[in-house]
Amino acid sequence: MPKVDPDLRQEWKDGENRTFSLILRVTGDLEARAEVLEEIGCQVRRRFRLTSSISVRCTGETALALTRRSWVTKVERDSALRVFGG
Amino acid sequence: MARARKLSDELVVSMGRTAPNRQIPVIVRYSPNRVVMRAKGPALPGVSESYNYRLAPLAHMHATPQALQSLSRDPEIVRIYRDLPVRALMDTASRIVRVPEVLRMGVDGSGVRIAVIDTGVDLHHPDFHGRIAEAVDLVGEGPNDQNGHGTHCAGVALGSGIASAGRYRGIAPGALLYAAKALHRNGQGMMSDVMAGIEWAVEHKVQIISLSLGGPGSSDGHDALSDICDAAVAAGVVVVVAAGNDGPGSSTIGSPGAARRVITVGATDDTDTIASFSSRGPTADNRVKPDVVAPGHRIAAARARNTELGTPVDPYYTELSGTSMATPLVAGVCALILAREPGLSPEQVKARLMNTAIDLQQHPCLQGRGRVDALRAVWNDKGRAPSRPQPQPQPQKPAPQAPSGCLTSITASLRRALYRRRR
Repeated sequence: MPKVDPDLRQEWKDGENRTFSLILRVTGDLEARAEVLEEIGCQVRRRFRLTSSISVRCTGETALALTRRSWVTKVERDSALRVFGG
Repeated sequence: MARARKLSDELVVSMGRTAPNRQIPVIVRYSPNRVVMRAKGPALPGVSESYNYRLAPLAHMHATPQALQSLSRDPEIVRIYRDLPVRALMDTASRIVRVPEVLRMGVDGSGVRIAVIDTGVDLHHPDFHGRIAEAVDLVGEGPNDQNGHGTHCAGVALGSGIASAGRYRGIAPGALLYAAKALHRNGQGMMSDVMAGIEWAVEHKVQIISLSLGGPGSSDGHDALSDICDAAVAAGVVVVVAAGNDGPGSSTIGSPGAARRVITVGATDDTDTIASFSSRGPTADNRVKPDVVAPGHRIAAARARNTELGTPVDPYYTELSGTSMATPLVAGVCALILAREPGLSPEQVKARLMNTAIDLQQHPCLQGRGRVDALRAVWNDKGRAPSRPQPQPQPQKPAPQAPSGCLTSITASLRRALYRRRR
């Protein structure tokens, strides 16, 4: 199972300076990982203890670098949702 | 008749809440002495006529608030009424899944904690009075509902119906509400904000989470939102999720409806037919979903103040359709189950719902195990299911607080008569 969907990775390559909203699955201490993410240029939005995940905003270039960290196990888009009634 | 008295009370309220360029459905009553039998409305700007009745001097039309003021000056017009829905209301949906029988036995979900993660809730709606345990804003707009969807969902799950004298009572009117605003006023939001709402709910020890939202496309249930829903179930919370409104095509259930451990809910109408809009399975990894179905077509429930979502019934209620509505209905049934048996695990509650559902004789990827039946679920009646209920004529009910001369029942009778004549 790849860490990142190939289409999303290509979007990062095509837009290294664009900002992406992402959800990362990480191993290890959640707070420590969030600190590292901020140090390398991510804007940490939320931490999720139930699934050891962190939502961030970062550039495509930073996102590409994230996937090289061994403790980042999966990266996916922070997708848009909508209501199902009207 | 004075101009003000030509407009019904409901219509005056609607006019005050409707934007100048939006039309309101109305029924116009003309003087019986009128010579010209054609309604005058369409000659006015802002009016479109949809139907002239032949058995009485009546016309159905749509008109803007300003056009209605103009119409009220017409000496041939006796009265103008807000057209009101006369069927498929919350009381109908509740009856279909046999909630009144459960409530009569004293089980109303009292004390059960339900989280509705949505567009927020109208904190001042009388149907939630004294039962909003917590409310949180996760999107920076304040916890009040400026869309109307979250309030409606909460009303379906646990509204008291007090503003309608009980007519639009929710499924578990004794339950406590935990409202997390994770979607913006436009009804959209980010996965991470909904995930934050789920964690907030788990931290507040809710017993049930109701999610009437999702993303597009087909999911295998391994995305971040699906995983956190499954984690909430593992933490002891029943999570009820809408299948989506992308039917009737197959494989149209996205995230979080495709999550493995949640209860995924499709929608039926009031004749136990699967709604065409209801998303179908299988999931992207070929699992059967939804798990159950429930009424989700033209459901009237709580309306948030200053919102116009759906078809407003009156200032306190509006009518919406979608798997969004079926979902809190099932969440409410879960609350009834847990009120009677608080020790059940989320897996046991899910199994109970599925094992006691009424088989609608549809493919599992349309109906799951069938349509939820509250009476069977609460009493764990797994015996032979009653045969599929046949549509029955609904008794005509008086509109709540109808002013004298209200045409609701008259027009309903006329429509039925015209329908018979056309056939």
